[in-house]
Amino acid sequence: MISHLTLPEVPALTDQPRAQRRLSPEDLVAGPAALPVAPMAMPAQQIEPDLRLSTRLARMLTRRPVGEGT
Amino acid sequence: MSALARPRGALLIGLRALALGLAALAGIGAFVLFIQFGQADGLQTLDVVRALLILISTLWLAWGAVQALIGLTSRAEPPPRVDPHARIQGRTVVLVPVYNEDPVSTFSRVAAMDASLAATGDDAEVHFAILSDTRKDDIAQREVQVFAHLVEERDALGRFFYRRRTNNVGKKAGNIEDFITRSGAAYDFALILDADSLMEGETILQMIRRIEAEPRLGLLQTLPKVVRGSSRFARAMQFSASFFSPVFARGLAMLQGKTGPFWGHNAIVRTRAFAESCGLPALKGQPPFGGHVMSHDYVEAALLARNGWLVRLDDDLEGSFEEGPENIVDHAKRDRRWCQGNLQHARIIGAPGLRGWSRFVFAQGIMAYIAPLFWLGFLVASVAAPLFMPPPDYFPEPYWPFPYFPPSEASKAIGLAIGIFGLLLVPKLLIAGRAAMNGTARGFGGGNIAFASTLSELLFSSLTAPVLLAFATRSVFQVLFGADGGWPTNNRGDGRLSVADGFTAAWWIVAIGAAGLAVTWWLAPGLLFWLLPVGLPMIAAPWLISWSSQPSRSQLMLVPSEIDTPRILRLHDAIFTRWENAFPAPEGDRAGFADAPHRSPAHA
Repeated sequence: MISHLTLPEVPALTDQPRAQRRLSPEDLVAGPAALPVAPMAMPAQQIEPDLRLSTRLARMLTRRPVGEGT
Repeated sequence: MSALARPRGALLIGLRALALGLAALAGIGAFVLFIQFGQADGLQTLDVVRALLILISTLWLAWGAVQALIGLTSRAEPPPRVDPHARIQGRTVVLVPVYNEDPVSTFSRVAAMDASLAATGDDAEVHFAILSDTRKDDIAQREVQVFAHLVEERDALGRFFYRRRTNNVGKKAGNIEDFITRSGAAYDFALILDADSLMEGETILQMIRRIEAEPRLGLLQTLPKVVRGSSRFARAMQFSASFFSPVFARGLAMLQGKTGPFWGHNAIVRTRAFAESCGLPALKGQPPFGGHVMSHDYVEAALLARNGWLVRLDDDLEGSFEEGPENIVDHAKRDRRWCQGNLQHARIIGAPGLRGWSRFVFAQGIMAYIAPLFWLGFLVASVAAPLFMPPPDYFPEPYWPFPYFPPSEASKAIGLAIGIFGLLLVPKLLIAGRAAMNGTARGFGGGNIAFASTLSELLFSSLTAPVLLAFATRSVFQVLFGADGGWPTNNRGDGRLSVADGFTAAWWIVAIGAAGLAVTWWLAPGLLFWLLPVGLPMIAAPWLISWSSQPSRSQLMLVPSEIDTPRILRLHDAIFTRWENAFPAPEGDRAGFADAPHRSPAHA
């Protein structure tokens, strides 16, 4: 799993006067309160039975677990 | 640990076999009794059909009773090898998905949980992410305003996050998946909540410690207690959930092995396990059976187990709360969604690689909704039976001058009825008895009040069951005939209903109840007495719906959270009251939050 951890920059709260760090609600959710950028792959799983004979035969012959997607 | 606690291997297989065997035995016993009853006047094909229907129905009832018996004979204990004071290493995010909810109510819960966490003094890194799927711009705008207030009040810049999706792909499961694919790598664990969830800070920390201590654990589910019920219906459900459900859940926990349940909220997941196992594609075809997976939680639990992760219900964890519907109509609406979701699992039950118990859980979920159909089939077949029955032959022997009266097997039928009622009543009475003996009843007002509450709950559930089963049966038919129920938000607010409201929702139940009794009186008058407990509540459905939605002031149905309000609820009440003044509800509150009108603790 590839991780790109980039948490948003958060200025040290104690370093600035309270009035200066007050953002408008819209700027807040668009800026420091936006979700951190740290993607994680979430591959789609096989959740329906594959009833085709070829798939069932292949599964039986290879004895490989299917559906795990990873 | 008690002898039965968390069995594994051969013991687990043995316990499951015993439980299923006992349920099957009860079903077969009912079948045999009914066949003997039918033989009295000559066995007809319809008798065999009815016996099969009673077999399936009894087996289902007995399965519930067996779970309760297992729960009664075991104890909830924390898992071994977990230091309750261990320093937490990983980073956790608490996910709060919202959808047209009142932000003052929902975000004040976040503030309360954060304050509760802070009060523990633990330095664990716990963030909160509000994941909005809100479709209404005015509510979304209010969400942003209230969120800014939340961040400021909790001094939470860098710990609290807010995101609104522009589309609702995948509903709640898609909302969580969107978070994982954007931000999942930033967190070791994700605690998934509902908009009405509340958890004590200490409980959250214990959950993190437990999942951190067991590297194979993919998901840890708590047993949330239903709180803040104010109507008669809600308080009855709340009492049932607090008094009976823990015992049933413990029975379930004993049988779960490595494949425990996920109920979609108040549970923590290992982010990596969830990401690699739980990506849900849309099912082929159109809803109700195709499209996005509605009851995604069961599927996610099964997929985690398929990938080798442990999924566990720790029913010993306290401090986990949710709210429930205030009236029968809201309950039926929610049940409609669950019904469609569970029946949709028929498409998934055969997915490759699933563990046997996961498939069994899917089958159990489907059975929960189709079981009323078997009862309905039994009742219809019983009323119709006289039409197909040959006239009695009192002179079977030619030239024999005296009439022959077939032996009465009424005792078999009465025995069967007693047995079936026993399966419904005895587990609850045993739970009440044990609560009186081990002191649990103190939290429910003492032994006498708890026992009186149990009897009241039995009476209440007997009255409302025909109405609820009628709604459930309609849901099943709607799904089977291809009607998609959509996914409306819950209405968990102060939902008083008038008799007119009740009639609008349940006129068809009244009609079916009246017609059913009339047909019974015409075709099988001997059965009329037996069908009155089903037919009369159906005819009275509008009054029952209205009466049960009114506020309850009874001393019965007391639950621990009403006697001693949990800290997190008190904290939330205080914050909510303050915020409600800062953010008064917009003009015409109920219209503004048409999909989610509750401003929750106001009625608590």
